[in-house]
Amino acid sequence: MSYAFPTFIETIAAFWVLLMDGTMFVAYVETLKPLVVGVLISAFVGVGIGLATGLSRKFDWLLSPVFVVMQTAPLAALIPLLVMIYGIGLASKVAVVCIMAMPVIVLNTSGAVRNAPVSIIEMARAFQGTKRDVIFKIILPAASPIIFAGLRLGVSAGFIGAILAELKITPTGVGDIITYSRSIADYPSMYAAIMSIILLAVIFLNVLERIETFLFKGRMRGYASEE
Amino acid sequence: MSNNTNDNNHAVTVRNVYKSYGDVKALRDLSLDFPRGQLTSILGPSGCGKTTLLKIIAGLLSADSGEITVNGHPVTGPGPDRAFVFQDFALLPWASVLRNVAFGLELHGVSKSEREAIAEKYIGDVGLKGFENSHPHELSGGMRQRVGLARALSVDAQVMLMDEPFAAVDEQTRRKFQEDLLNLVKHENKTFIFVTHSIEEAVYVSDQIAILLPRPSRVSEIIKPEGFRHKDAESIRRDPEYLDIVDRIWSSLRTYVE
Repeated sequence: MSYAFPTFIETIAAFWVLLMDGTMFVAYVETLKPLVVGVLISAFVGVGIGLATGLSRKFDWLLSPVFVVMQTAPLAALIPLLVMIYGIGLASKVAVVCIMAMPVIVLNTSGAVRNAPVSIIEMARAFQGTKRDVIFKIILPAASPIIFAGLRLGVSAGFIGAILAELKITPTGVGDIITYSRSIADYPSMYAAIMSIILLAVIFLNVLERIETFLFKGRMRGYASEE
Repeated sequence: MSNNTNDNNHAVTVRNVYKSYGDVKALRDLSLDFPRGQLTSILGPSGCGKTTLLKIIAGLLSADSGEITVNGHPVTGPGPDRAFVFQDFALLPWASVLRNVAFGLELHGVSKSEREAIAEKYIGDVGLKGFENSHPHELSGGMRQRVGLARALSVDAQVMLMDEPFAAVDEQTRRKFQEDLLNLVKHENKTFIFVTHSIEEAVYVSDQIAILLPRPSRVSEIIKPEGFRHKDAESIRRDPEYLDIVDRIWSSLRTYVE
């Protein structure tokens, strides 16, 4: 085997060393900052903007193209531009996480809102429901499974964004472990760092799924009409 | 109001209503009165604007011109004097039967304990006792429409608007529903407006049948089956007048059915 492809055992051993000497811990304190801030902003702002674009044609016209562009733009190539605007600190990294995470959250949310069941909305109107009732009692609950699916996709994209930012802007946290280990040809440590971020993402997505199941208690499965 | 006496006999009046969807004229100069406390069917071939007319009365659609009054008040939108039963039930899939039945009252701003007490009563009335905490996907089609019916009854509107309510349930359940509907009309002091495409169903349940001919729709005939209305549910289907009216309606509608 090539030197650049360490065995699984070597990788696990390197992982163990990084974990035990505290390197991993210190790195994650640094990496989680832009990740958590970025994902939180993306979730709240993204769902909010998704609701607005889903409910109003004007907002859709105004904002949807922005997110389609964000989703398709070659982010890595645009990072120098972000650095010029926001500097090399936390702000740029948060921006990268947001650009990765927000479009999928916004587009999923607005799609879900737009596809809310027409007949139930009409029912609410027939019983004199206000616009507010329709949004909070019909559209949001109906859209929530797809909104959550969008959140999951957004969060995984956010993880990619966080590492990308650390590799492309300034090497800090886990990105630093990856860059540094590669530069000294300590490939087991490099793969250990990559593995750790995958592990964390998987755990996080699982927690999110648990929250979702808890919130809806399996009620969303099966629909009122038999189409 | 000048025609006050007339309004007292009629819970709902429709006067010279026009409605088009783009170039398609759905309703043309349609006028129809709905006698108070009775069931009026709107019957016609598909695409004749039955549902459009019902939704205009409900205030869900607005007419291009013409006037609709409910108890003498012009209709400008949905109101508490009307309750709607939907063809596809329109239940909240994430909510229990109890919340679904109470949902009309919830939207009216009735307190939780009060609306649940009322909902419990109507859940019992439509024969769903014990299913309060079930969800729509756990119920059969017929049971779902009972939920829809209980929801409409629980808001205690004087006018019940029913849009092909039995079209999506199986034949046997439909027959049972028709018999239950006769009892409902007899015992609840409400005006029923019932859209259907089934001739037998219309003749079986109606005090008055308005036959709509298609595009642009107008009322071509009003039939009032009176001879067998007092009979019990089982013997109506064998009554000669019932059979005659069914035949008569079919012969006037058949030319419009492709």
